[in-house]
Amino acid sequence: MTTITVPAHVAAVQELTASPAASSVTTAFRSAATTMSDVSEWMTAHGAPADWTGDAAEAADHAMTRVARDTGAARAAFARVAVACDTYVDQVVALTTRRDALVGRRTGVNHDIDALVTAIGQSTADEVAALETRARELQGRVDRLVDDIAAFWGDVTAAEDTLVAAFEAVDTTGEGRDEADRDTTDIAALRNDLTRLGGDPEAINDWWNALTQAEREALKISDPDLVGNTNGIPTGDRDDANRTSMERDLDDLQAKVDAGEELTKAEQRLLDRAQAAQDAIDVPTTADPPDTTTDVNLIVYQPGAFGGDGAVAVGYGDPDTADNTAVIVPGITNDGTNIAGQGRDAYMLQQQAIRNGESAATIAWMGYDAPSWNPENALDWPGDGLDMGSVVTEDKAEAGGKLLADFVDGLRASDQRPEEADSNLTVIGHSYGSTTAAHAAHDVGLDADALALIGSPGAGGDDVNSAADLHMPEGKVYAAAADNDFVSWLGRDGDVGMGQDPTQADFGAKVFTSAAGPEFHADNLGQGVANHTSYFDPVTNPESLSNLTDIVRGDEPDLTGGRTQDANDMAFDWARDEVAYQVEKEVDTTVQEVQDAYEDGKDWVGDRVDDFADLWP
Amino acid sequence: MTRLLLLAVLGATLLACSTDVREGGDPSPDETSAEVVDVGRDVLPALSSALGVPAPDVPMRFTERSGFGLYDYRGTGRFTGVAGKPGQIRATLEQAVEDAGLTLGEATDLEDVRATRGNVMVRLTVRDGAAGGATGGAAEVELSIGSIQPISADEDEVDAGPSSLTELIGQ
Repeated sequence: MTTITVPAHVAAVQELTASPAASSVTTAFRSAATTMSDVSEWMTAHGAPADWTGDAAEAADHAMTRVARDTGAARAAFARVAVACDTYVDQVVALTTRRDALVGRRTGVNHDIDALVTAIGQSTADEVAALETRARELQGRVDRLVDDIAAFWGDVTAAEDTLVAAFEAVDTTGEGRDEADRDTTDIAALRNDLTRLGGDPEAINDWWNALTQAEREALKISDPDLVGNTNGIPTGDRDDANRTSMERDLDDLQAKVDAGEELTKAEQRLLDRAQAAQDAIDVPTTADPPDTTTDVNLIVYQPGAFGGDGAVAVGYGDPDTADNTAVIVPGITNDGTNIAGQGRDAYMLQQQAIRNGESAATIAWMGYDAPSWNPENALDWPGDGLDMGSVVTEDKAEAGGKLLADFVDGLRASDQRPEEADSNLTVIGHSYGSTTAAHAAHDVGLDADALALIGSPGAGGDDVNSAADLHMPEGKVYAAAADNDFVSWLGRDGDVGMGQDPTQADFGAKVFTSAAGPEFHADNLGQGVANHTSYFDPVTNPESLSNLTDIVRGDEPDLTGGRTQDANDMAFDWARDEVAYQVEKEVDTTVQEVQDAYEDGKDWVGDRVDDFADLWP
Repeated sequence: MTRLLLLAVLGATLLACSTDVREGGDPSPDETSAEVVDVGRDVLPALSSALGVPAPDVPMRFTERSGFGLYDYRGTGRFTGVAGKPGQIRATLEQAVEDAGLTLGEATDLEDVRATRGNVMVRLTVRDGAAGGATGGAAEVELSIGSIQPISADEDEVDAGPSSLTELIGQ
């Protein structure tokens, strides 16, 4: 009898106890460091009030200097551990990938062991030599795998030890002061450099990448608002900085609420916008089952921008590395408070776009001042209009177009893919956002691969007469409109219109299919609005969502020939039919009322006759 | 005249965007959620029984469409550990939703099964588990259920957190 030694199954690879979600801890440390930095800078700059004199003033000055020094030490300590946490999270991401590979190898080798056992059970004598060879090969694979698993856990332990050491190095005030003394980063010079580079995203990206990790971290802590909102800085770093700002706002204002203090209107508005940004960030994790793998980035966070409307952009996926990227530009009624709704649309599109195995990032970009309901900003339209009133002009679309073009330039600059294989970038403008996107393309130049205009009230400006005037790559202007989307009936040139309807056949855009949406009447305008907001909805408009997915992937959508009826004529037809409908409805109602009155009168007369008959036996 | 009409349409748009008052005949949030729960009561056990796996928790919530004061009432869940090939599973799903009283519609490339009853749509997508992963080779079925047309509502009326469909239907 021959004995073939078959290797034993490799034991399961334990789960990692840390996950990339640990990055929230980094944000917390960075946020704490920012607070310390603010306090330290303020104390240093102010000292005791100028009108204080004498010993008390001197004592106060000394005290404030001490506090500034201690908060500076705390800032340095938090900055040190934030860097260590950042590094640790990167290591955890890499280790998680390594573990997944090890799990796959284990599954494969154990499967092959089982297959060998089966083969041995069914073998004949002349197969023994071959089976022994297989067994030896398998033993070699098992040994290498076991070694790799051991090395993996060694690296896990090393990463944890490094993190612990970073904490232990600054866990006393004295060590924090030493860390601050060692820190020679000239924050003011860095800030000046970044500000001087102004609006050149490529130069900013090159400059940023040339900084040391400590310098980048220091600037993110001292100036999160600047770093987070400068086009050209890598998306991950913008996200770090903006989350720091957002967490600072949430912590500061929530602490006031918790203490029973009444927030001012401005503070309440700031808190609302910070919470809205957090809600948008949470869109994937509040799905069922929760999606904890999508990389969410807060790419713009300026809650006080545009007179309190707020600017914010949230990306699902990393645009710096994604195969395909889309920037979605919302329209009227939108501001920083409803970014979560925009985020859901963007996330829905991203989840569809990645189904072909390519990576994708979609960004809900509320980075311009769309006409919206902002009572605090009611008179921002020159002279005599409500904020929403500015929808009848293109002023905000023109200003927004410039901001959009700059934002897209920033994405191009921070794209980490090889230049010849930059992310396929699509800008999708919805409603007034389509007018904004068209202005970006025509007035400034939009460095995107494709432009899609949906539910558009006009493709921006009297100078845009065809798709060619948008200066996009040949055949890369797309448009769609639900037949019963009344906003899409507004397209026209002139002082009231916002430009040509891009879905007209003779405009020259590639018009893709969209559900028409149910017809609606004046007493059910909500249905018309529902049609206008359906373009990302898989339930009521799967045609549009599917086509937008194709465009984002760089594929061709299902096309129609475009409208042959003038957009304004569609509005006229609706109005004419509506008048007829309402008159008919009114007549029907009146006839019914007369009939009801007649029946009531008849009943009354009958009752009186009966009464009279009762009195006359 | 053209300008007047355009301004009228624009005015109507803005009115529609700003109004907090439900239009005549529009269902209330309670009526909308009740209709969805009613369908869930029929379809969730039917799918669970047909697939031979427990029904998932399906958190339902009202979510606002972008800035217009319109709300959808929807939720998603995932049946895991489903045995069978995708084609067989699709057929099983179609039979189950029909048995539950829904009308099958034409599926799009966003899902495998699409069915409606009243203002409620159920969408089902089969994820082949052959590639392995967390499910160890078994397939998964993604369930989306919710209202088709959105409703106008005040934020206060729809501000409640998610509710479990499983609990709402009393399972």
